[in-house]
Amino acid sequence: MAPLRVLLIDDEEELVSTLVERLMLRGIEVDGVTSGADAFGRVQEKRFDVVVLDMKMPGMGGLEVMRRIRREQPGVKFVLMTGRGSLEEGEEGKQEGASAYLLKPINIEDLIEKMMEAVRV
Amino acid sequence: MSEEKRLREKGLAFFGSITASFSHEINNVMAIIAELAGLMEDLLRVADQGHPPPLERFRGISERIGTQVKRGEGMIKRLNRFAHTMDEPVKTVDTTDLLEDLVALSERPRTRRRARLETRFPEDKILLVSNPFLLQQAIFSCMELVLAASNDKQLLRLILEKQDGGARITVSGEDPIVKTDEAALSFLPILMEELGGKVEFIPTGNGGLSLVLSLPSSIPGDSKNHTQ
Repeated sequence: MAPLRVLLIDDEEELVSTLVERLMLRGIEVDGVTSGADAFGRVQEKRFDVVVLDMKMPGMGGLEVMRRIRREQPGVKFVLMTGRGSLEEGEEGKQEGASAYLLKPINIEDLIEKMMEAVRV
Repeated sequence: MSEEKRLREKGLAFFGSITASFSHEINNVMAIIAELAGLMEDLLRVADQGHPPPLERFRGISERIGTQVKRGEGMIKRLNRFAHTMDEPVKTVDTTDLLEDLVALSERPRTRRRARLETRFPEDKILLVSNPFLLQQAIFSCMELVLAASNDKQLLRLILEKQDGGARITVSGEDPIVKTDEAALSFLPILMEELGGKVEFIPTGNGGLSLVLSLPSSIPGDSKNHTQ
């Protein structure tokens, strides 16, 4: 089975690099970026199965990033990350078609489970 | 709505806005620490399967955790100082320290608008006998007004200067104004009156907005006035 191709987007560079390391140790192919603009560049170069996206990004909000990525790669699945005080953003994301949202700090096993569920649907 | 009620409600809204956005930042630090600890566990699991433990990577991760712990401690100290600005309605305030805290506390609202910030503070301390909470609220309101008035990615300037024994704080943006928050504009003079000062709205050369706060050395009529 081909490895899962994941694009991880969060403005916290250290969080991105650590999660990338952890997911790669589990055999997942991950690209990590720290802005919506970098993400748009990446989706033009490469196809992904799942996008893991922080909803609170500087500048363009998570929902807008999600819409623009979907325009580029219509079949891609989304798993969102959100803070405890921003549950409504996660719900809004689900209404717009995201497969799931997780509260930060996330549990990596939960993240992998949600990503797998998303691609199975 | 009475002025007193408006002041109280706006004050609570300001307190909520700062604590919500800053606790979000602290949560991010916690998330990073959790992931770094998780990475160590992952590497230990790999080592348990017979691979030599990557000591250099452990050392690196431990340093990265240390950096985040320091970052978190700094944030908690600032948030704690901010909460304590409500302890006394009037006290001696080091204006530079207060502005530096506010700059850090308001980082998230600025980065969300992708604004850059340029500060100019004097080398000598400017001490005011003032209400630290209302003072921060007034400066934060100016920053919000300037950020909201223009498009994203603008340059925000924050300048502190000595003026007639008191202080002059200028918050300005050079980008042309696209919209103004009239309710916030009308509230600023009320806030400044409480601080015994005044606010001036000065348009900049290229259509931007400059807000100038003039603050007395002490709030008129306050008993501490006579002891400083």
